Amino acid sequence: MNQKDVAISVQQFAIFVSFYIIGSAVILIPSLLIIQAKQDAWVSALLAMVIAVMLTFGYGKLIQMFPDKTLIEMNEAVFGKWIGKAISLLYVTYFVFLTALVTRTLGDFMVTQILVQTPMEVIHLLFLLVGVMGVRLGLEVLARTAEIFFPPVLMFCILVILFLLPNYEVENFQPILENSILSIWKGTWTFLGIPIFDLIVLLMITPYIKKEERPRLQRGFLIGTIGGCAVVSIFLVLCLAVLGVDFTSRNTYPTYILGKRIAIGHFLERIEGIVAILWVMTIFFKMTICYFASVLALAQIFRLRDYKCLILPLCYTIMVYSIISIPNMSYFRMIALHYWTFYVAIFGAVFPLLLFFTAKFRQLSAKKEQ
Amino acid sequence: MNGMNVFLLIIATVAVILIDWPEVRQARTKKQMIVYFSVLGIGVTLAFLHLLDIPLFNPTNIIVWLFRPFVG
Repeated sequence: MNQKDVAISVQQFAIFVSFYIIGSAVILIPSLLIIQAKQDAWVSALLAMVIAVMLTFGYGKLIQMFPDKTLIEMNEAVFGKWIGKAISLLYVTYFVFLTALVTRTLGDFMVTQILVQTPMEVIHLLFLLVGVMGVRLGLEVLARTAEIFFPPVLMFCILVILFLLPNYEVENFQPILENSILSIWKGTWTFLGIPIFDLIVLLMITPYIKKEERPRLQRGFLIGTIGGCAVVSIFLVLCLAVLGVDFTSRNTYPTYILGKRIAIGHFLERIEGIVAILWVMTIFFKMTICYFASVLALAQIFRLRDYKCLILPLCYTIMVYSIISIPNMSYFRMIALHYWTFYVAIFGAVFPLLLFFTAKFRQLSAKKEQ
Repeated sequence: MNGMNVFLLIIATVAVILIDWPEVRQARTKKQMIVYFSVLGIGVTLAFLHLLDIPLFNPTNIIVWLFRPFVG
Protein backbone atom coordinates (compact mmCIF):
# COMPACT_ATOMS: atom_id res chain seq x y z
CA MET A 1 0.00 0.00 0.00
CA ASN A 2 1.31 3.39 -0.93
CA GLN A 3 1.32 5.62 2.14
CA LYS A 4 0.33 8.66 0.07
CA ASP A 5 -3.08 7.04 -0.52
CA VAL A 6 -3.77 7.56 3.17
CA ALA A 7 -5.68 10.75 3.93
CA ILE A 8 -6.61 12.40 7.19
CA SER A 9 -8.76 15.47 7.69
CA VAL A 10 -7.57 18.85 8.98
CA GLN A 11 -9.72 18.36 12.08
CA GLN A 12 -7.92 15.09 12.84
CA PHE A 13 -4.59 16.83 12.25
CA ALA A 14 -5.55 19.61 14.69
CA ILE A 15 -6.38 16.97 17.32
CA PHE A 16 -2.99 15.34 16.66
CA VAL A 17 -1.27 18.69 17.19
CA SER A 18 -3.02 19.40 20.47
CA PHE A 19 -2.48 15.84 21.78
CA TYR A 20 1.15 16.09 20.71
CA ILE A 21 1.63 19.28 22.75
CA ILE A 22 -0.36 18.04 25.75
CA GLY A 23 1.45 14.65 25.57
CA SER A 24 4.56 15.09 27.62
CA ALA A 25 4.12 18.74 28.55
CA VAL A 26 1.01 18.65 30.72
CA ILE A 27 2.66 16.64 33.45
CA LEU A 28 6.32 17.70 33.12
CA ILE A 29 6.15 21.39 32.19
CA PRO A 30 4.49 22.90 35.31
CA SER A 31 7.32 21.81 37.58
CA LEU A 32 10.10 22.74 35.13
CA LEU A 33 8.65 26.17 34.42
CA ILE A 34 7.99 27.00 38.04
CA ILE A 35 11.58 26.09 38.95
CA GLN A 36 12.76 28.74 36.46
CA ALA A 37 10.16 31.50 36.68
CA LYS A 38 8.60 30.85 40.12
CA GLN A 39 5.14 32.49 40.47
CA ASP A 40 5.60 34.23 37.08
CA ALA A 41 5.62 30.91 35.23
CA TRP A 42 2.27 31.74 33.67
CA VAL A 43 3.91 34.74 31.92
CA SER A 44 6.55 32.35 30.55
CA ALA A 45 3.80 30.04 29.29
CA LEU A 46 1.98 32.93 27.57
CA LEU A 47 5.21 34.08 25.94
CA ALA A 48 5.93 30.51 24.78
CA MET A 49 2.42 30.34 23.32
CA VAL A 50 3.06 33.48 21.26
CA ILE A 51 6.35 32.04 19.97
CA ALA A 52 4.58 28.74 19.24
CA VAL A 53 2.01 30.57 17.11
CA MET A 54 4.81 32.31 15.18
CA LEU A 55 6.62 29.01 14.70
CA THR A 56 3.42 27.40 13.46
CA PHE A 57 3.13 30.18 10.86
CA GLY A 58 6.69 29.44 9.80
CA TYR A 59 6.00 25.72 9.47
CA GLY A 60 2.82 26.59 7.58
CA LYS A 61 4.88 28.55 5.04
CA LEU A 62 7.15 25.53 4.55
CA ILE A 63 4.12 23.28 4.06
CA GLN A 64 2.71 25.75 1.50
CA MET A 65 5.98 25.64 -0.42
CA PHE A 66 6.08 21.82 -0.47
CA PRO A 67 2.50 20.60 0.06
CA ASP A 68 3.16 17.03 -1.13
CA LYS A 69 6.48 16.49 0.57
CA THR A 70 7.42 15.29 4.03
CA LEU A 71 10.26 16.99 5.91
CA ILE A 72 12.71 14.36 4.63
CA GLU A 73 11.63 14.85 1.01
CA MET A 74 11.87 18.65 1.49
CA ASN A 75 15.47 18.26 2.68
CA GLU A 76 16.43 16.30 -0.41
CA ALA A 77 14.56 18.65 -2.74
CA VAL A 78 16.21 21.76 -1.33
CA PHE A 79 19.67 20.74 -0.16
CA GLY A 80 20.35 18.12 -2.84
CA LYS A 81 20.80 14.38 -2.53
CA TRP A 82 23.80 14.01 -0.22
CA ILE A 83 23.49 17.03 2.11
CA GLY A 84 19.74 16.42 2.22
CA LYS A 85 20.24 12.78 3.16
CA ALA A 86 22.82 13.71 5.82
CA ILE A 87 20.43 16.22 7.44
CA SER A 88 17.60 13.68 7.15
CA LEU A 89 19.69 11.06 8.95
CA LEU A 90 20.23 13.56 11.77
CA TYR A 91 16.45 14.00 11.87
CA VAL A 92 16.01 10.21 12.12
CA THR A 93 18.32 10.07 15.15
CA TYR A 94 16.32 12.92 16.70
CA PHE A 95 12.97 11.22 16.04
CA VAL A 96 14.19 7.90 17.46
CA PHE A 97 15.68 9.60 20.50
CA LEU A 98 12.47 11.57 21.06
CA THR A 99 10.37 8.39 20.87
CA ALA A 100 12.69 6.75 23.41
CA LEU A 101 12.48 9.75 25.75
CA VAL A 102 8.69 9.94 25.55
CA THR A 103 8.49 6.22 26.35
CA ARG A 104 10.89 6.71 29.23
CA THR A 105 8.91 9.58 30.79
CA LEU A 106 5.78 7.43 30.72
CA GLY A 107 7.65 4.42 32.14
CA ASP A 108 9.14 6.49 34.93
CA PHE A 109 5.77 7.99 35.80
CA MET A 110 4.13 4.56 35.95
CA VAL A 111 6.90 3.03 38.05
CA THR A 112 7.09 5.88 40.57
CA GLN A 113 3.39 6.71 40.89
CA ILE A 114 1.12 3.84 39.91
CA LEU A 115 2.72 0.42 39.24
CA VAL A 116 5.47 0.69 41.82
CA GLN A 117 6.56 -2.96 41.81
CA THR A 118 6.50 -3.46 38.04
CA PRO A 119 9.84 -3.41 36.16
CA MET A 120 10.10 -0.37 33.93
CA GLU A 121 11.17 -2.50 30.95
CA VAL A 122 7.80 -4.29 31.00
CA ILE A 123 5.90 -1.01 30.90
CA HIS A 124 8.08 0.25 28.04
CA LEU A 125 7.61 -2.97 26.11
CA LEU A 126 3.83 -3.01 26.53
CA PHE A 127 3.55 0.64 25.60
CA LEU A 128 5.83 0.24 22.59
CA LEU A 129 3.93 -2.82 21.37
CA VAL A 130 0.71 -0.80 21.34
CA GLY A 131 2.66 1.88 19.45
CA VAL A 132 3.91 -0.75 16.98
CA MET A 133 0.33 -1.83 16.39
CA GLY A 134 -0.79 1.78 15.89
CA VAL A 135 2.00 2.54 13.39
CA ARG A 136 1.37 -0.74 11.51
CA LEU A 137 -2.33 0.06 11.20
CA GLY A 138 -1.43 3.43 9.74
CA LEU A 139 -2.11 7.11 10.08
CA GLU A 140 -5.82 6.92 9.25
CA VAL A 141 -6.55 4.52 12.09
CA LEU A 142 -4.47 6.61 14.49
CA ALA A 143 -6.31 9.76 13.41
CA ARG A 144 -9.70 8.14 13.96
CA THR A 145 -8.58 6.87 17.38
CA ALA A 146 -7.47 10.39 18.28
CA GLU A 147 -10.89 11.67 17.25
CA ILE A 148 -12.55 9.12 19.56
CA PHE A 149 -10.27 10.03 22.46
CA PHE A 150 -10.69 13.76 22.02
CA PRO A 151 -14.07 14.21 23.85
CA PRO A 152 -13.00 12.22 26.96
CA VAL A 153 -9.70 14.12 27.16
CA LEU A 154 -11.53 17.44 26.90
CA MET A 155 -14.11 16.32 29.47
CA PHE A 156 -11.43 15.15 31.93
CA CYS A 157 -9.63 18.49 31.58
CA ILE A 158 -12.81 20.44 32.30
CA LEU A 159 -13.69 18.14 35.24
CA VAL A 160 -10.27 18.56 36.86
CA ILE A 161 -10.42 22.36 36.43
CA LEU A 162 -13.93 22.52 37.93
CA PHE A 163 -13.28 20.12 40.81
CA LEU A 164 -10.22 22.06 41.89
CA LEU A 165 -12.13 25.39 42.07
CA PRO A 166 -12.51 25.31 45.88
CA ASN A 167 -8.73 24.90 46.32
CA TYR A 168 -7.57 27.97 44.38
CA GLU A 169 -5.40 30.43 46.30
CA VAL A 170 -4.77 33.69 44.47
CA GLU A 171 -1.97 34.63 46.91
CA ASN A 172 0.19 31.95 45.29
CA PHE A 173 0.60 34.23 42.25
CA GLN A 174 1.86 37.17 44.30
CA PRO A 175 4.09 39.14 44.09
CA ILE A 176 3.65 39.37 40.35
CA LEU A 177 6.81 39.91 38.23
CA GLU A 178 9.03 39.83 41.31
CA ASN A 179 11.67 37.81 39.46
CA SER A 180 13.87 39.09 36.66
CA ILE A 181 12.86 39.05 33.01
CA LEU A 182 15.71 36.57 32.48
CA SER A 183 14.08 33.98 34.74
CA ILE A 184 10.80 34.39 32.82
CA TRP A 185 12.68 33.91 29.54
CA LYS A 186 14.39 30.80 30.97
CA GLY A 187 10.92 29.38 31.68
CA THR A 188 9.80 30.19 28.14
CA TRP A 189 12.96 28.59 26.74
CA THR A 190 12.23 25.38 28.64
CA PHE A 191 8.61 25.34 27.38
CA LEU A 192 9.87 25.83 23.82
CA GLY A 193 12.11 22.81 24.22
CA ILE A 194 9.68 20.24 25.53
CA PRO A 195 6.69 20.45 23.22
CA ILE A 196 7.03 23.46 20.88
CA PHE A 197 10.15 22.84 18.78
CA ASP A 198 9.14 19.15 18.72
CA LEU A 199 6.22 20.18 16.49
CA ILE A 200 8.59 19.81 13.53
CA VAL A 201 7.87 16.06 13.73
CA LEU A 202 4.34 16.80 12.48
CA LEU A 203 5.79 17.94 9.13
CA MET A 204 6.23 14.22 8.45
CA ILE A 205 2.45 13.73 8.34
CA THR A 206 1.22 16.91 6.62
CA PRO A 207 1.38 15.42 3.05
CA TYR A 208 -1.22 12.86 4.17
CA ILE A 209 -3.88 15.51 4.75
CA LYS A 210 -6.77 15.41 2.26
CA LYS A 211 -5.97 17.57 -0.77
CA GLU A 212 -9.32 19.38 -0.74
CA GLU A 213 -8.77 20.39 2.89
CA ARG A 214 -5.18 21.62 2.45
CA PRO A 215 -6.17 25.34 2.28
CA ARG A 216 -7.46 25.02 5.86
CA LEU A 217 -4.30 23.28 7.09
CA GLN A 218 -2.66 26.42 8.47
CA ARG A 219 -5.80 27.19 10.48
CA GLY A 220 -5.97 23.64 11.82
CA PHE A 221 -2.30 23.72 12.79
CA LEU A 222 -2.84 27.03 14.61
CA ILE A 223 -5.98 25.85 16.42
CA GLY A 224 -4.23 22.66 17.52
CA THR A 225 -1.18 24.57 18.75
CA ILE A 226 -3.19 27.18 20.63
CA GLY A 227 -5.50 24.52 22.10
CA GLY A 228 -2.61 22.32 23.26
CA CYS A 229 -0.64 25.24 24.70
CA ALA A 230 -3.77 26.55 26.42
CA VAL A 231 -4.40 23.20 28.16
CA VAL A 232 -0.76 23.02 29.34
CA SER A 233 -0.90 26.66 30.51
CA ILE A 234 -4.18 26.06 32.37
CA PHE A 235 -2.67 23.09 34.21
CA LEU A 236 0.38 25.19 35.01
CA VAL A 237 -1.85 27.91 36.49
CA LEU A 238 -3.75 25.23 38.43
CA CYS A 239 -0.50 23.90 39.89
CA LEU A 240 0.47 27.42 40.93
CA ALA A 241 -2.96 28.23 42.34
CA VAL A 242 -3.48 24.98 44.22
CA LEU A 243 -0.03 23.65 45.10
CA GLY A 244 2.06 26.84 45.20
CA VAL A 245 5.60 27.50 43.99
CA ASP A 246 7.60 25.42 46.51
CA PHE A 247 5.54 22.25 46.33
CA THR A 248 5.25 22.29 42.53
CA SER A 249 8.95 22.87 41.93
CA ARG A 250 9.90 19.98 44.25
CA ASN A 251 7.63 17.47 42.48
CA THR A 252 8.32 15.86 39.11
CA TYR A 253 4.63 15.20 38.42
CA PRO A 254 2.70 18.04 40.10
CA THR A 255 -0.29 17.68 37.75
CA TYR A 256 -0.81 14.16 39.07
CA ILE A 257 -0.64 15.47 42.65
CA LEU A 258 -3.36 17.98 41.66
CA GLY A 259 -5.72 15.06 41.12
CA LYS A 260 -5.05 13.89 44.68
CA ARG A 261 -6.12 17.30 46.00
CA ILE A 262 -9.62 17.03 44.56
CA ALA A 263 -12.15 16.67 47.36
CA ILE A 264 -15.81 17.46 46.72
CA GLY A 265 -17.80 16.84 49.88
CA HIS A 266 -16.72 13.45 51.20
CA PHE A 267 -17.78 11.43 48.21
CA LEU A 268 -15.54 12.56 45.34
CA GLU A 269 -11.92 12.27 46.40
CA ARG A 270 -8.54 11.10 45.09
CA ILE A 271 -9.43 11.02 41.42
CA GLU A 272 -5.80 11.30 40.29
CA GLY A 273 -6.49 8.33 38.01
CA ILE A 274 -8.34 10.75 35.73
CA VAL A 275 -5.18 12.85 35.32
CA ALA A 276 -3.15 9.68 34.67
CA ILE A 277 -5.63 8.49 32.01
CA LEU A 278 -5.62 11.91 30.37
CA TRP A 279 -1.86 11.90 30.22
CA VAL A 280 -1.44 8.32 29.06
CA MET A 281 -4.01 8.88 26.27
CA THR A 282 -2.23 11.95 24.97
CA ILE A 283 1.34 10.72 25.41
CA PHE A 284 0.43 7.58 23.46
CA PHE A 285 -0.26 9.77 20.44
CA LYS A 286 2.96 11.72 20.90
CA MET A 287 4.95 8.48 21.08
CA THR A 288 3.16 6.94 18.10
CA ILE A 289 3.57 10.04 15.92
CA CYS A 290 7.30 10.18 16.73
CA TYR A 291 7.60 6.45 16.05
CA PHE A 292 5.72 6.81 12.76
CA ALA A 293 7.96 9.74 11.78
CA SER A 294 11.13 7.75 12.57
CA VAL A 295 10.08 4.75 10.50
CA LEU A 296 8.75 6.82 7.60
CA ALA A 297 11.86 9.01 7.56
CA LEU A 298 14.11 5.95 7.44
CA ALA A 299 12.06 4.42 4.62
CA GLN A 300 12.12 7.67 2.63
CA ILE A 301 15.87 8.18 3.04
CA PHE A 302 16.52 4.71 1.59
CA ARG A 303 13.64 5.09 -0.89
CA LEU A 304 11.81 1.96 0.27
CA ARG A 305 8.37 1.27 -1.15
CA ASP A 306 6.83 0.53 2.23
CA TYR A 307 7.80 1.64 5.71
CA LYS A 308 6.00 -1.14 7.55
CA CYS A 309 8.78 -3.72 7.55
CA LEU A 310 10.99 -1.30 9.56
CA ILE A 311 8.55 -0.88 12.45
CA LEU A 312 9.47 -3.93 14.52
CA PRO A 313 13.27 -3.78 13.94
CA LEU A 314 13.34 -0.14 15.09
CA CYS A 315 11.47 -1.11 18.24
CA TYR A 316 14.67 -2.74 19.60
CA THR A 317 16.69 0.47 19.34
CA ILE A 318 13.90 2.57 20.87
CA MET A 319 13.49 0.05 23.70
CA VAL A 320 17.22 0.06 24.54
CA TYR A 321 17.53 3.84 24.38
CA SER A 322 14.39 4.34 26.45
CA ILE A 323 16.22 2.51 29.24
CA ILE A 324 19.79 3.79 28.94
CA SER A 325 19.40 7.38 27.73
CA ILE A 326 18.21 8.71 31.07
CA PRO A 327 19.48 7.09 34.31
CA ASN A 328 16.80 8.78 36.46
CA MET A 329 14.25 11.60 36.45
CA SER A 330 16.53 14.04 38.30
CA TYR A 331 18.98 13.72 35.41
CA PHE A 332 16.12 14.19 32.97
CA ARG A 333 15.04 17.37 34.76
CA MET A 334 18.59 18.68 34.59
CA ILE A 335 18.78 17.93 30.85
CA ALA A 336 15.32 19.42 30.22
CA LEU A 337 16.11 22.60 32.19
CA HIS A 338 19.53 23.36 30.74
CA TYR A 339 20.38 21.44 27.56
CA TRP A 340 17.36 19.99 25.78
CA THR A 341 16.06 23.21 24.19
CA PHE A 342 19.43 23.92 22.52
CA TYR A 343 19.35 20.46 20.99
CA VAL A 344 15.76 20.60 19.70
CA ALA A 345 16.16 24.20 18.52
CA ILE A 346 18.60 22.88 15.89
CA PHE A 347 15.92 20.58 14.47
CA GLY A 348 12.87 22.72 15.21
CA ALA A 349 14.19 26.16 14.26
CA VAL A 350 17.69 26.25 12.69
CA PHE A 351 17.25 23.55 10.01
CA PRO A 352 13.69 24.63 9.06
CA LEU A 353 14.88 28.27 8.73
CA LEU A 354 17.80 27.13 6.60
CA LEU A 355 15.40 25.04 4.54
CA PHE A 356 13.01 27.95 4.07
CA PHE A 357 15.63 30.52 3.04
CA THR A 358 17.48 28.10 0.74
CA ALA A 359 14.20 27.18 -0.96
CA LYS A 360 13.30 30.88 -1.35
CA PHE A 361 16.75 31.66 -2.73
CA ARG A 362 16.49 28.80 -5.23
CA GLN A 363 13.02 29.95 -6.30
CA LEU A 364 14.29 33.50 -6.84
CA SER A 365 17.34 32.41 -8.81
CA ALA A 366 15.16 30.10 -10.95
CA LYS A 367 12.85 33.05 -11.71
CA LYS A 368 15.81 35.26 -12.65
CA GLU A 369 17.13 32.59 -15.01
CA GLN A 370 13.74 32.40 -16.70
CA MET B 1 23.96 -11.18 32.38
CA ASN B 2 20.79 -13.16 32.68
CA GLY B 3 20.68 -16.18 30.35
CA MET B 4 16.90 -16.07 30.30
CA ASN B 5 16.95 -12.53 28.87
CA VAL B 6 19.27 -13.57 26.05
CA PHE B 7 17.01 -16.53 25.30
CA LEU B 8 13.99 -14.18 25.18
CA LEU B 9 15.90 -11.81 22.91
CA ILE B 10 16.63 -14.64 20.46
CA ILE B 11 13.00 -15.81 20.53
CA ALA B 12 11.76 -12.23 19.98
CA THR B 13 14.15 -11.71 17.05
CA VAL B 14 13.03 -14.94 15.36
CA ALA B 15 9.40 -13.90 15.90
CA VAL B 16 10.06 -10.45 14.40
CA ILE B 17 11.72 -11.94 11.31
CA LEU B 18 8.83 -14.39 10.88
CA ILE B 19 6.26 -11.60 11.20
CA ASP B 20 8.06 -9.29 8.78
CA TRP B 21 9.24 -11.90 6.29
CA PRO B 22 6.18 -11.82 3.98
CA GLU B 23 6.47 -8.01 3.60
CA VAL B 24 10.24 -8.04 3.13
CA ARG B 25 9.98 -10.80 0.50
CA GLN B 26 7.05 -9.15 -1.23
CA ALA B 27 9.16 -6.07 -1.94
CA ARG B 28 11.59 -8.28 -3.92
CA THR B 29 14.36 -5.72 -3.78
CA LYS B 30 17.84 -6.27 -2.43
CA LYS B 31 17.85 -2.78 -0.94
CA GLN B 32 14.78 -3.48 1.20
CA MET B 33 16.42 -6.64 2.60
CA ILE B 34 19.69 -4.83 3.32
CA VAL B 35 17.95 -1.92 5.10
CA TYR B 36 15.68 -4.30 7.02
CA PHE B 37 18.48 -6.52 8.28
CA SER B 38 20.72 -3.51 9.03
CA VAL B 39 18.09 -1.86 11.23
CA LEU B 40 17.28 -5.19 12.88
CA GLY B 41 21.00 -5.97 13.32
CA ILE B 42 21.70 -2.61 14.97
CA GLY B 43 18.71 -3.04 17.29
CA VAL B 44 19.53 -6.62 18.30
CA THR B 45 23.21 -5.77 18.82
CA LEU B 46 22.29 -2.82 21.04
CA ALA B 47 19.88 -4.99 23.03
CA PHE B 48 22.47 -7.77 23.37
CA LEU B 49 25.21 -5.36 24.49
CA HIS B 50 22.78 -3.83 26.96
CA LEU B 51 22.05 -7.29 28.36
CA LEU B 52 25.81 -7.84 28.73
CA ASP B 53 25.95 -4.60 30.77
CA ILE B 54 28.34 -3.04 28.28
CA PRO B 55 28.05 0.79 28.36
CA LEU B 56 26.50 2.03 25.12
CA PHE B 57 26.74 5.30 23.23
CA ASN B 58 24.39 7.65 25.06
CA PRO B 59 23.00 10.64 23.12
CA THR B 60 22.23 12.62 26.27
CA ASN B 61 25.95 12.69 27.15
CA ILE B 62 26.68 14.07 23.68
CA ILE B 63 23.99 16.73 24.15
CA VAL B 64 25.50 17.76 27.49
CA TRP B 65 29.01 17.84 25.99
CA LEU B 66 27.89 19.82 22.93
CA PHE B 67 25.89 22.49 24.70
CA ARG B 68 27.85 22.93 27.92
CA PRO B 69 29.54 26.12 26.59
CA PHE B 70 26.09 27.72 26.10
CA VAL B 71 24.84 26.73 29.52
CA GLY B 72 27.96 27.63 31.48
